[in-house]
Amino acid sequence: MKFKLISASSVFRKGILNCIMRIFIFLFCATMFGSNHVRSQNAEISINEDKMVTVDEVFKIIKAQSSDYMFIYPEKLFKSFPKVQLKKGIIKIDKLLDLALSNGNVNITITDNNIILIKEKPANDKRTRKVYNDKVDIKGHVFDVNQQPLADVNVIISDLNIGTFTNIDGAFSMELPHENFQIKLSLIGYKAEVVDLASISDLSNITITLKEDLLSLDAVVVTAKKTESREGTSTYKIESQAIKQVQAMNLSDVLSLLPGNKTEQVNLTDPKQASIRSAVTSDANSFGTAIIIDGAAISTDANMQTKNSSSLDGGKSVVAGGVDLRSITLANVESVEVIAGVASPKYGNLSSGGVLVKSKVGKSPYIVSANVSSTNYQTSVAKGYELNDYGVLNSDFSFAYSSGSPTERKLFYKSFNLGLRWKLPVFEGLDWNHFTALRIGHSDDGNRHEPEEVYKNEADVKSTSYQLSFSGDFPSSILGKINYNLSGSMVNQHSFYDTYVLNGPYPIIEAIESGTYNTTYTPNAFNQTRDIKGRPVNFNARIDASQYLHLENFDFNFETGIQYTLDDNTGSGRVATGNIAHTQDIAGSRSATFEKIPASKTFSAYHQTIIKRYGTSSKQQLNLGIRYDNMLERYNLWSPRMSFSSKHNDFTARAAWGVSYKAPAMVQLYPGKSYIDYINFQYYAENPAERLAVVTTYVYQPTNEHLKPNYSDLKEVGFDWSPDFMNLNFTYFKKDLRRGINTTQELLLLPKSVYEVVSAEEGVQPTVQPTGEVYNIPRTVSVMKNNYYESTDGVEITLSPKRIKATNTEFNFRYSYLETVVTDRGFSIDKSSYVVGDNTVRYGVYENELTKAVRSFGTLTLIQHIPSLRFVLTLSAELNFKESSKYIGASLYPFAYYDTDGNYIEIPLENRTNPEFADLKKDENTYTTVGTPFYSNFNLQIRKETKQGHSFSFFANNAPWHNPTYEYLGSRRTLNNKLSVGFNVTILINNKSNQ
Amino acid sequence: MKDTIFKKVRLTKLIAILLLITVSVSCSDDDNVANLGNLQVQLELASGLGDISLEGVDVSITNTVDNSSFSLSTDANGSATFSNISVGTYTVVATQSTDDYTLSGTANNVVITRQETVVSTVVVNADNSDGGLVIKEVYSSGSGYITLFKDSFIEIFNNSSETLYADGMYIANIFGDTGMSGDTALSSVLTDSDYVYTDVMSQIPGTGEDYPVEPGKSIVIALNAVNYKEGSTAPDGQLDNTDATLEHYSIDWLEAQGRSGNSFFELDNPSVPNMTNIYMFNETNFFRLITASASVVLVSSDATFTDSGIVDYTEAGSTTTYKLMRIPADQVVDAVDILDNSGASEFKRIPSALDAGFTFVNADGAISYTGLSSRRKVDEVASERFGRTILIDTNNSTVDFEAIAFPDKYGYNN
Repeated sequence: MKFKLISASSVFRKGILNCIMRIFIFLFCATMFGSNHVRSQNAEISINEDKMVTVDEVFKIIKAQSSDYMFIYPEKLFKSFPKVQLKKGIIKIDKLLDLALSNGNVNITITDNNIILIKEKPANDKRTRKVYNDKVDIKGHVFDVNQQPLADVNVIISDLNIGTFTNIDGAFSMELPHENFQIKLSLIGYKAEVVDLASISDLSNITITLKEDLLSLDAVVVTAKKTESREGTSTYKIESQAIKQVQAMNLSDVLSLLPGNKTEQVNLTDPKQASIRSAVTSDANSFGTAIIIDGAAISTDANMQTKNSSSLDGGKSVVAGGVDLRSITLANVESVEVIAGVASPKYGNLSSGGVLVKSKVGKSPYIVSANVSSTNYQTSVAKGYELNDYGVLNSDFSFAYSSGSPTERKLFYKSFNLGLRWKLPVFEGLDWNHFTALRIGHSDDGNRHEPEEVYKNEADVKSTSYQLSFSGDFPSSILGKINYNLSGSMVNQHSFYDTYVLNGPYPIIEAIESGTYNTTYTPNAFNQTRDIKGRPVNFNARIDASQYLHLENFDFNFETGIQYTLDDNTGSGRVATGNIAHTQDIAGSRSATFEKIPASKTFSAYHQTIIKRYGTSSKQQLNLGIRYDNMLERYNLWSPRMSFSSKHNDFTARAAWGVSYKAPAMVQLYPGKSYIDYINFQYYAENPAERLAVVTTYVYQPTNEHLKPNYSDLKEVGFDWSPDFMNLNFTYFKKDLRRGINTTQELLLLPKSVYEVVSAEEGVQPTVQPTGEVYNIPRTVSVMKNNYYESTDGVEITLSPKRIKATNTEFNFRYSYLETVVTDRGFSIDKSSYVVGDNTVRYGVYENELTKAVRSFGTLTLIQHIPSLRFVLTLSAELNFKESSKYIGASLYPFAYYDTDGNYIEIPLENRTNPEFADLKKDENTYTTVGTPFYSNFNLQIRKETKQGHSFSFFANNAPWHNPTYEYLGSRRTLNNKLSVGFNVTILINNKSNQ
Repeated sequence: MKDTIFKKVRLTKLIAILLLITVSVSCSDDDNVANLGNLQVQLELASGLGDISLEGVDVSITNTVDNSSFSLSTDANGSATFSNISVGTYTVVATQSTDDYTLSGTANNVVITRQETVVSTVVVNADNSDGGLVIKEVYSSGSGYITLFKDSFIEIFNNSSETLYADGMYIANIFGDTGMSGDTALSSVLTDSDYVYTDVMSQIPGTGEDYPVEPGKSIVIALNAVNYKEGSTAPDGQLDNTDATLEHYSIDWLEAQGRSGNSFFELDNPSVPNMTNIYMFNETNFFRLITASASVVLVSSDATFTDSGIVDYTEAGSTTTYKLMRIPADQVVDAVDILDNSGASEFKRIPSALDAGFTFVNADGAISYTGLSSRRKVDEVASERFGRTILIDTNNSTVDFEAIAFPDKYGYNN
C-alpha cells in the first residue's frame, strides 16, 4: 500500500509503531507543507456547476481554491467510494468534506496546520488493539430535539449482548473491550438510532439526539426487515412503524409481513397460529414455534382443553397446536422479531423457529388507539410513567371484540389484556437492570345462544392467564454479564359447551368402567353440558452468563446458561353433565381429572461461542452452539446449532445448521380414557316404564408414554448483497420435521352379544338375556404416534431497492418458495366403501400417501411516503405464483385387509386391482392434484399523522375487489377474499409536542 | 235408483231361470229344428259402481267345445244379442278399456239351447286405471326443532279394488341434489335414465301375505314408531307414529355388517316390525335427513340387488364419491320426485318415464321443520265412480301431488 505522499509499511503490528508513524507523518507533513497562516476550517469553496465527481476530484477542487489544505491518505482509499453530487453554489470546506467522505469508513484528522489525515477506520484500529487490555469506557448523553435529556433510553450493544438504560439525566456509560461496535439507542416513541462508536472522536462524551418516530421523518420502515441477530439466523424484524402500518390487532397480523405470508382476512373468531416455513398448515409445525415475550416463552404444553380424549379437537381452543396468537396484543410492543432459521441455543422446546416480542420501556404519553373493521373492534391505551427513583412503569390495556361476520352475532370473541412492566433500578450505582412484568389476559371465545335461535349450541372457551416474570441483567466481575429470567404463569381455562341435544331419544350411557349395562332413554331433547376446567401452570427459570474476549482480529463472545421449565395442569378436568349419550364413531366423552397427570419437566443447559474476525474488507462470524435438554425426565437430547457468515465488502455469504426438539404436549402424553359404546339391544316401547336398552361400554386407555419429542433439523445457506442501490437477501433452507405427533386410526374388535326378550310384563322393563350369539364389531380408535414427517425445501428472498430520494418512494419485494413433503409413516385403514344386504365389510389397509405441497408466493409493496404531509401509503400486490398439493406414491388399492373376525389377510400385488376388492378401492378422485393458477391480490394501507402525533389510518384488503376464478374438476372456484376495509385512530394524550 | 236395479236383477234372474227350464224341457222334444239359438248378453254394473256407461262394451262369447267365438258391442242399454249361434256352452266375457277404468265381466257355462233366446246377465266390474299400490304421502320435512325429522314416514296406498300385498317390495330414497343454489343435477353425473339411483333402500319383510293393503287403505312405514307427542310442549303439532305398520331400525344390521350402528334417530319399538335393510351408503339411518325434499320410489318385489348394481357418483369439482345402488326403471312400481322448489325442474332425479313432473313442499324452497308434507291428491271423479277413495295417478307428480301444511297419516283410510 502506498501513501500518496509518504511510503509506509502496510501493516502496523503494534500500537507503538502506529504512534511513531503518526508522529512521523505529522512532522514530515508539517515540515514540508506547513503553511504560515492558519485558517479556520470554515473556508468556503465555490462550485460553479452541478456535477458528479470522485472524492479525489473533490480534493483537487479544494486545493485549487485554497492551497492551505493538505490531504494525506492511502492512494487507493477512495476507489470504492461513491461519486459525490456537487450543487452549484458556495459550500464550506467541512460540509464538503462531510459530503465527500460520509459514505466511507474513514477517520479524518484535521491538524492545526490544516493537514487533513484520512485513513481507513476499522481494520487499522483493530490492529492496534491488544488482548485483555485497552478496555474502553464510553459515556454519553441522549437528548431529544429540544435538548431535553431522555431517560430510559435502551442502549444496546448487540454484538456483545449487553445493554443499559439512560438515567434521568439522559446519561449512560458502559465498559467495552474496544470501540469497534455499534450501539443502538431506542426509546418508546422515538426513532431508534444506531451509532458507530468508531466514528466518534470522544467516546467519553457522546451526544446523541433521538427524534420522535413520526411520519415527518425522512425514512420510515413499514415492512419486515431481514436483520442480523444474535437470536438466530434468518431473522426478520418488524418495528413499530410497520406494526402501525398493518394496523395490527394482535401478533398474527404482523406475521403477514414475512416472506411467504399473506394478509389474512381479519376475523378474530377463529384461533390464529404461526406457520413458519411450511407450505402446509400443520399443528405439528405451529406447535413447534416458540412465542417468547421479553424472554419468557408462552407455554401451551399443558393445555388439555380437548373435548374428547381420543382426539385433539378443542372446540374453539387450540390444543397441541401452538400459541393462539390472538391473545398476544401489541399495544405496548416495540418490535417483533421472527426467527425463521436456526435459533440461538438459548431457545429450546421448539422445532419451527420462534417469535420474540419485545415490549416498550420508557415514559410515554397516553397512547389511545382504536381499530375498527367490519367485524372487529379493538381499543387500547398505553402509557409509560416515569417514577423517578422507582424506575419506570409501562402499562397497557387493550380490549378486542369480534363477531364472525358483519351480519351475524352467533360467533364472538372478546378479550382484554393488561400488561404492566416495571423497570426498577435495583442498586444505586450498580448497573443492574431489573424488570418485573405482569401480564393478565382474558379471552372469551364462543358461540352465543341467540334468543331467536331454537337450536341451542353454545360454546364458551374462557381463558384467563396470569404471567409474572422477573428478568434482568447485571455485570459480574467473574462471570461477565449475568442475565436472568424467572417467569411463572398460570392460566385458568374454562371451556363450556352447552348443547341442546335434539336428536334423542338416546340410550343413556354414563358408565366409566368397561361392561354391559341396562339403561333407559333420554327424552326427545335434552340439555348436555361439558365443562373442561384446566389450569396449566408453567414455571420457567433461566440464567446465563456471557463473557467476551478480544484476541488480535478476533472477538469471542461466550454465552452459557441453564434453564429449567415445568409444565403442569392443576385443573380439575373434564366434567360432563346431562345425559351422555352414545356418540357415533367418536369415542364418547366422560369426565376425567387432570390432577394425577405428572408434570412435564425439562432441564436444559446451553452454550454458545460467537467468534468474529475482522479483516481489511471482510468480516467473518462463526456461532457454535450446543443445547442439552433433559425432557420428560427420560430423554437426553443434544441440539447442535451453528452458523457461519462471511462478509466481503457489500456481500455476505452465510450458512447455518441446527437441531431442535419439541416436547410432546401433555394432552398427547396423557389423553385420558376413551369410551367406546355400542348398543346390544333396544326396546323402545310405547310405555316409558317398559323401555330398555342394553349397552356395552369399552374403556380404552391409551398409554402414550412412548411418545418422543419431535425432532427438527434445519440447514440453510444464503447471501446478502447490499450495494448502494439495493439490498438483496437470499436464503435457501431445508427443514426436516421428524417424529411429529399424529393421530392414527387403529382397529379394535369388540364382542357384541345379541340379547333377546325372555319375558315382558306390562308396566315394567322386559327381562332379557343373551342368546349366546356373539359377533365381533370393529371399531377404530385414534392412537397418537410419532408418525408425522414434514420436510420443507424453501427459498426466501427479500429485495429492497434504494429509496428514490426525489419522490420518497420505496419498493420492497419479498418472496418465498416452499415445497413441503408431508407424510404419516404409519398405515391407514378404511372399511369397504359399500356393502349390500347381509354381506359384511372388510377393513382395507393402505399405505399412506406422501403429499407434496408447493407455495410460491411473493409480495411487491410500493411505499409512498410524503414527510411534509406526514402521510404514508403502501400498496401491496400479493402475487400467488403457485399453490398446489399433489400426492406421491399413493395407491388406491389396499395391500391387505382385515375381515370382521380380525384376520389380517395380505393381498398379493398382482391381485390388488381385482374386482373382488372393488369395495376396498379408494375413490378415483382421492389423490387429485389441487392447484391454483397465478393470481394476484391488492391491499392498500394509508396512514396520516398530525403534527401532534395523532394518526389516522385506513386499509382496504383486496381493494379492487378482484375475485378471479379457476376451474377445478369441472367446477369454478373463487380466489381471494372479498373486499374488506377498516381504520385506526390513534391519539396521544398529554404529549409534550401538543402542549 | 239402487233399489230398482236390484229389483231388475232379481227379475231378470228369475226370467232366466224360467227360460232355462223351458229350454231344457223343450230340447228333448224337437229334433228337426236347426240346432241354433240366440244369446242376449245384458251387462250390469257390479254393486257400488256408478257413473259408468255400459254402451260400446266389447262382448265376446266363446264356445267351450269348438272354441268358436263371436264379438259384439253393447247398445245403449248395455245389451248385445248374438243370434243363431250353435247350441252349446259358452263363456261370455265383457271388456272395455278407457283412460280412467277397465270394465270386465265374465259369465261361464252359459248354455244356449235350440231356438231359444237365452238372456245372460253379466255383472261387470270396473277397475280403476290408476290401480295398484301407490305412494300416498312422503313426509320428511320434520315438524319442529325438537322432533327434527325423526317423525318422517312414507305411506303406501292401495288404489285398486282388491287387497294387495306389499311383502317384499322395496322403498328407496332417490339420491341427488334437490335444486338449491349451488346444487348439481344428478342427471349431469349419472346419465343413464333406464335406472334410478338410491343411497338408502329397505325392503318390506314378509313371505307373501303378511302385509296386506286393503283397497282404498294404506300402510305407513315410519322412520321410528315413536310417539312424539310424549313430553312435547305442543303435542298437537307432533305425530304419534306408534300406529305405523313398519319402522326402520338398522343398528344391528350395520353392526353385523361390520359397520358402526348409530343411535342417532334409531329406536326400536318392539311392537312394530322392522323393515329389512338392503342398502345404506352412509351409516346414517333410513331417510336422507339432510333434505326436506325426499324423492322416493316403490320397487317391485321381483327386483334383486347385488354388488354389481353399485355405481359411483362424483360431482364436478368434488373429490367425494358416493356409491349408489341403481334400480332398473322397469322394476319401479311407483315414483314421486320431490324437489326443493318450483323452479328445480332441471334437478329431476327420477326419469320422466316414471314421473313426468315433480312436486315440492314450498315453491320458494323446502324449509325444514315446517311440518309440510307431500300428499297425493284424491281423484274425485274416480272416487265417485267407484264408491271408494281413489287417488290420482297420472305418473306426473306435478299433477298428482300437493303440499299440505301438516302430515295426513292414514288420512284417506276412513
